[in-house]
Amino acid sequence: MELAIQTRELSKRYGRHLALDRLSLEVPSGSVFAFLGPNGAGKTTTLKILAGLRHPSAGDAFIQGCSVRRESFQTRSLCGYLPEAPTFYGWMTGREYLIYSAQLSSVEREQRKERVEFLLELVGLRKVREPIRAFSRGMRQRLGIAQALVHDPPVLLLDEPTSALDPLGRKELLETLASLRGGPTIFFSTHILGDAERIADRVAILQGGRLLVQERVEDLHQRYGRRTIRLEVEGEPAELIAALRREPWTLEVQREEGYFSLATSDLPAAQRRIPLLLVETKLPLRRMEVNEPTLEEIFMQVLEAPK
Amino acid sequence: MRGFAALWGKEWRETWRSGRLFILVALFLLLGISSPLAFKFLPQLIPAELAEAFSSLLQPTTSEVIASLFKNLSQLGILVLILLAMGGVAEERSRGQLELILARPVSTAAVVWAKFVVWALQLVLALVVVLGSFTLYTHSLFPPGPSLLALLQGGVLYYLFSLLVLAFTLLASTLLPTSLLAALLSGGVFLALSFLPYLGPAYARFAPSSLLEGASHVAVGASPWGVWWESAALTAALILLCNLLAVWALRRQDI
Repeated sequence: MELAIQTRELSKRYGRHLALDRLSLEVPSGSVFAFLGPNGAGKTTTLKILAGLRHPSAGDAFIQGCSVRRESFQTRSLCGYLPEAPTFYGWMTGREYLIYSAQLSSVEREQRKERVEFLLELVGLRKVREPIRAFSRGMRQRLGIAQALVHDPPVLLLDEPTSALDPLGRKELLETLASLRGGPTIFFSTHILGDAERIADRVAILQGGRLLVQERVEDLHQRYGRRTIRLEVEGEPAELIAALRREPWTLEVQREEGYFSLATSDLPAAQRRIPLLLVETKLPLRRMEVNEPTLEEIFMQVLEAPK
Repeated sequence: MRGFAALWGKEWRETWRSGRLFILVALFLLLGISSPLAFKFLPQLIPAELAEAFSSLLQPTTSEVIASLFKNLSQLGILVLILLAMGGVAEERSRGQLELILARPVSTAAVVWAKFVVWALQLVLALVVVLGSFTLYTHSLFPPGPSLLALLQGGVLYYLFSLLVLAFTLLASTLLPTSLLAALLSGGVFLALSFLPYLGPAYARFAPSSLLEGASHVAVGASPWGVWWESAALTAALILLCNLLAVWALRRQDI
């Protein structure tokens, strides 16, 4: 597995406060990686170290194999970075800022204009002529994405890219990020778990500067998420519940008002057997649905698990 | 110094678009014309009964007008330069603009030197305006006016000291979290430096602030400018040191 980002025993101390505690992280190339954690978990510190803006107290981080400590110029060339609340020069227009960013990243003069126009189109700012000081928050965030992409970096580092946006702005930005899938590796921090669920294929959960888990979203669902089947039948389900409890894949059956839910260790087996049990118990089926646990539920489970 | 050309270009455009260049030149123009105008029209503003008491003031020589210009430049001019440079790094860092720059493959040396070079050029422009306007007004109001060569030589000594003010304020702006603190530190240091020549001849020989007195002396033709080479050499070394320290400090900072 080729790695876009790797950290080894990365630590950061601010005075007596240990913000990052021996973080070892692996982000495969091409993945959309969500970095989750409550406020103060160390997400921004990690991103800033990766972007070459903060110096690690111990350990090292690598972007495509280049050390952020020893090869800062190379790692900064490989990354596009968007801070949580990007601030630009208000007197510039979006187009001017992108040209300036391209110059700083040594984008060839011949490619500069074409690249800038492409990105302005991508983020929906092509027709905007006003200086940046007149931009809304959503426009600034979209310009932020564009400036991070201006030198076509293989790695994108985004710090809470959607946290300051309204629902519409969030939706637009997530769509822009989703459209980049298959291009650069996207490593983004967020505490909005719904955003991670929508676009990430891998996640890491951080708390108090320590890594709690890093996995593919599917694996996380399988490992932490208990799938449940919700059943609604006509008539008294006591006989059906008793039959279900005798099945080897049944973990738990909970009876609620008007329905009951079944936690299972083998979903396909349960899906095959339940219709037969319904026939045997002669109960008409009103509704049957499989419930996947949300990332939020998994997140809470991981945070609350004994360390 | 990777990224210098782009950073320099941005600093220059910002100076132009924000109106900072215009304000600087306008202020220096005001300093340039205020001395000859004030000396010329002061007699008309003073009541006749007081005129006798201030007779020497009311019939000034060209040298006195020149000395007055350099006094203004040493006080108001330096204050304007501190105000110009105080936000150099501190403001961009606190606003968050700097992190988007330093996350790119640019050197901290390029960031510091681009600002310094643009300010140095602005100052050249401001000094051309101040000395040009002063010469024009003094020629017409107090003929035959000043010696242009002597005035230019005095201007060079003043320029050198001004560059130290800019370099030190930039260093303070790099080290301190806010532009106000940078301005206070810089103002305090240069106020203290202005007393250095009075501590003894050895201090006066090397003190950068001797250049201000030197600028006035040279401009009125009282001494050749070569006399001040020791102060000038130390000032040039300090300018370099301040900028190198600013680069080093910025490189070590967590942004």
